[in-house]
Amino acid sequence: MGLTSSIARGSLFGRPARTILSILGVAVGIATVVAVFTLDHVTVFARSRSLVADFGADLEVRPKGGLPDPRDELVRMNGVAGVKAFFENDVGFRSVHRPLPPGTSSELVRLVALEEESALTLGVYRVDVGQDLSAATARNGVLVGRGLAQDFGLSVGSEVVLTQPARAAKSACVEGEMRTVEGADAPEREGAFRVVGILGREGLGRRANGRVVVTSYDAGRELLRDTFIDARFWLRRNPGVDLEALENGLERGFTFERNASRAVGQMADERAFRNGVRLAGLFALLLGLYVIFHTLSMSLVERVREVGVLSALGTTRLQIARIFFLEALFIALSAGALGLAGGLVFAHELLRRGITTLGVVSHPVRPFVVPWGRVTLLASLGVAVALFGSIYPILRARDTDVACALRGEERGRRAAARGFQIVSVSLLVLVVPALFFQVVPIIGAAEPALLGTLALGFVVLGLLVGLPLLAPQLFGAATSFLARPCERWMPLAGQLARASLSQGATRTGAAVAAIALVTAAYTGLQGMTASLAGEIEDWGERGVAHKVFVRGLPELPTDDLFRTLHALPEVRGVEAGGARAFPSFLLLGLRVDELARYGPLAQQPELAQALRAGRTMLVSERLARQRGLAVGDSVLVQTGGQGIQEFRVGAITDAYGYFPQPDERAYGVVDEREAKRLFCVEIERTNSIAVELAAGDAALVEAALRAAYPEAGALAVSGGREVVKVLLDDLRVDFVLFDIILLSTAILAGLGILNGQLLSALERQKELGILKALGATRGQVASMVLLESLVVGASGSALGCLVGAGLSPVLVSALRALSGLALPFRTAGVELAVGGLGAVMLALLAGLYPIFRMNRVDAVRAVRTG
Amino acid sequence: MTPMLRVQGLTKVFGKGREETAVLREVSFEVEERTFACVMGPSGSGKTTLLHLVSGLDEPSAGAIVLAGRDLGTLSQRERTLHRRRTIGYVFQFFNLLPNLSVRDNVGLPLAIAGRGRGEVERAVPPLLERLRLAGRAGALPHQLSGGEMQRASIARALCGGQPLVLADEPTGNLSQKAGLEVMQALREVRDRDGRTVLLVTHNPRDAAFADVVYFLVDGQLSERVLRGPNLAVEAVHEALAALSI
Repeated sequence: MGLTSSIARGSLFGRPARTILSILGVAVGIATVVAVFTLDHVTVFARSRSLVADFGADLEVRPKGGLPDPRDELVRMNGVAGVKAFFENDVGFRSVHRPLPPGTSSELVRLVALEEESALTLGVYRVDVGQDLSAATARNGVLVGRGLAQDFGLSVGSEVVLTQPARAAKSACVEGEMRTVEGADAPEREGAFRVVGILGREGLGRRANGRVVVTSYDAGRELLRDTFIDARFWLRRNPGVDLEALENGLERGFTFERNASRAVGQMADERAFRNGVRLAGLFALLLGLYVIFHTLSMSLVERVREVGVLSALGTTRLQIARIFFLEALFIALSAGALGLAGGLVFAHELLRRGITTLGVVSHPVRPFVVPWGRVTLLASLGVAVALFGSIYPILRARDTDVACALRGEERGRRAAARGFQIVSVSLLVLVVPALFFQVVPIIGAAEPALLGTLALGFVVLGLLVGLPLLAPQLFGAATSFLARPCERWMPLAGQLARASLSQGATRTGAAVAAIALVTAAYTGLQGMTASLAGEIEDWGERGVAHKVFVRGLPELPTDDLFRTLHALPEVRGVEAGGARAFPSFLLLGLRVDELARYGPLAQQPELAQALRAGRTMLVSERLARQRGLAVGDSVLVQTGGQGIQEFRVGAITDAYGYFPQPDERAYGVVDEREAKRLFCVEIERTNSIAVELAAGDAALVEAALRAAYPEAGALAVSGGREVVKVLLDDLRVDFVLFDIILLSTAILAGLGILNGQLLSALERQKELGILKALGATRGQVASMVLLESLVVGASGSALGCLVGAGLSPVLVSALRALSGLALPFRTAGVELAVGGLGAVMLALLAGLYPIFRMNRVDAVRAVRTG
Repeated sequence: MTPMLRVQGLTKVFGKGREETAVLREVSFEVEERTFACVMGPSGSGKTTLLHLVSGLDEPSAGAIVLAGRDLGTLSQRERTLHRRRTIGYVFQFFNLLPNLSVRDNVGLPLAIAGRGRGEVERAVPPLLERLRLAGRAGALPHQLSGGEMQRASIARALCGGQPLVLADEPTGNLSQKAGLEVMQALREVRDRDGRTVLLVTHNPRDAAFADVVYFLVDGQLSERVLRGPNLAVEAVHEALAALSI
């Protein structure tokens, strides 16, 4: 062991730069994947005290009617493992500690009333600060969303008041006439509550942009006892029972929706986001391993003479193999430890800044709980593959011609250990990802769209990783060809760069592939975010671009308000935001006469007529996609005292009905009189409106309102484009984690190129010395390296942009299927150029240190020795 | 006539303190233009160090070197490099061809270093290959050549740039008798046919006999004994060596 360890130690510490860079290459890859997984684990930690990674309500069901005790029916049903009743509605909200402006009674927020401990058993929300609702706090305790807590400065212990929304006069159909049976001036019911906890941004906490209040079912029912509520149930399925069998059992007495995301607020896109982050982490790990793989596998080349001398002195091949293995072990273990520690520190810092795998929050995320078992496994996976990379130099050392080695030559270009290379490709493209998914499974169902995208991703990975290993000459020849035109302006640099690129084909191929992988990931991701942004922009143009939203008005007569606004010639129409009901989705009652002044109803008078006649509904694009609705389809709506009512979808449009507070893009619109008739909602007065303008902006509307209603206090007025901008900004902020992971992979790719160039510098010390002896200047040496880097960067960049541009539509398709969003295909235009140029700059940067090393080569020593 | 090379009081010391070793001590000599000069001495006598100093690859501890009219001591490292590029063609003991370049490209390397275009290289190289009987090996890589072929390629490279001075460091040290003879004949031709100045360092009397003037370097110092040609006999060189007890 003395010989092995002393030579290995000499090699490792005699070339500290190479050792450090090799360790860094693996460490950064391991650190990224450890950080991603730890981040995700902490993000969802509080959902379940049992630390199961992810679960939630499987079904949302609604009794059809006629069942004496729907809850009991569900509890007894085969396949049901948990049942919680809930309903939701909008309520007035104010804080005791922060009075509202004069003339304003309350703000409208989303109320969700549910049975206590739904978080524990169904995971439909997470309490970030404070405690969950329990039997002790059920009576007057509430949980508030983050948005509400911030807007009102709430903390645990804050006192708030919830108010039943203003009630319309209750009418009933008596002998064919709508008659008032109860006056509209019945006193408002309100309840005093205390904040016991603040929700995290998952599940219910994301509803209405965080402006949500959660109470116990009984407390909510008490508050809204005179208001129509649509009571539903969340079910958790017994994993041993097939979902379809359960649904068959439910069909008799219930309507149901399979995806729990309907209940907790778009969980599908949460899963998509988290899976995306995990896959990005895997990508970083693979790139890191790929880089170190090549670095270790090429490490022999610089030490050919050393191997020759050892052999000539009688060292056996086994002893030489031990030397290489010991070096690789040191690098791999150091990298594993550094990666593990670095990844945990990285995750901690990200969480401290509110960056999570479900977007960015404005507070540190705690507690920091490390999933030691899994992160250790991930780090071990990285170490194992890095060790595997040391096998190649051992194989090459075994085949070294001792006589040539003593002359410092590598006899020709030996045929690569073909079998080893095939195994290596299989390892990186198949085995490592398979092992990764065992340790870090995909969240949720393995849906066809997701599996298809994964499969395509691995085909691309296989091509980009496999080709340089199996057919390096392709890359060598291609890059050498690309460098040819440069010989005209830089004869020496061009000639030598070409020779180096083609002779060092394996190194060249690895560098090009690394750059291409990172560029492809960047452009693919930019294409995906461009599509997500495009969806928001398209929706904005359809629905809100010409609107001004006003809230905080005193309760004003709707007719007066409309008259005031119509005095402005720029105003096309006004929508009042107070008439809302929740028969499993948000349903708004709007005045058809107003809607008929613009949008689809202006062009289709018959549609407006149908809406006035009743039983016709306009459905937003998002709701239509979520429920698979088309024009002409029927929508069943559960009402309070009038049973299930059937509506026909008259049009699918976003032109009407959107209000940013609370934010909801999945809704239906009916005639306000229909809404009043079925749900007894207030349509004569309102405190929030949306104004459709032909010209002008928010200032115009605000001035008119202030002139007409000087008693109005602080109005919240925002234009449609402003609303779109806020949503786009939120999107960009949420994707910052992907940007961070991409930066990490870019560092990896840069390290890979730097390592390759350093190895090349070490290989070519003698050559560099000869060039200097023949009169080559430092500048000419630098030009040679930079030209090589430029060609590698440009090749990788072009290849990556091509692959990324092709991947982008696939990613968008998968996201469409997973999230139900109508994502347009958008090519990342400027981003392609940025990604391409960035890749080239990265390659050039990676060449700087090797230039420094090359210029330090001693020409005298180089020409003196054989 | 201005000498091509003038060396005055050249001293080179390696190491410091107790490990200080003077490899060259007060060496002074001149090489006239169009002269084939030789510096002979046993292994370790400082011959290669002398060539490194003369070419500007290394700097002396003391003394002056005037090469083609320029004092190397007054030049910066970059200026020395450029001066070397313009003035010296180098033939190394271990050939020192670039392993990734073909024979054709290795020979044309000085022109590429000087920034000349591909066209000029392609015009200049073939006649040299022809002359040194390497035309059939133009596309071969160095590891595919014999020792003699590699050294002839090295000579061709030294000629390609048109530099007035050719330095040859033990050019036959790793070659067979026959190959070595071919190489020395080629070097002689460099002086006779091209009119260039050649400075050869060697320990081989046969090689030294090709020179017009032979200096003897013993323990870092030049002997006063000088052999002058032309047409020196090998026996004369042997006699000189015997007299100097080398």
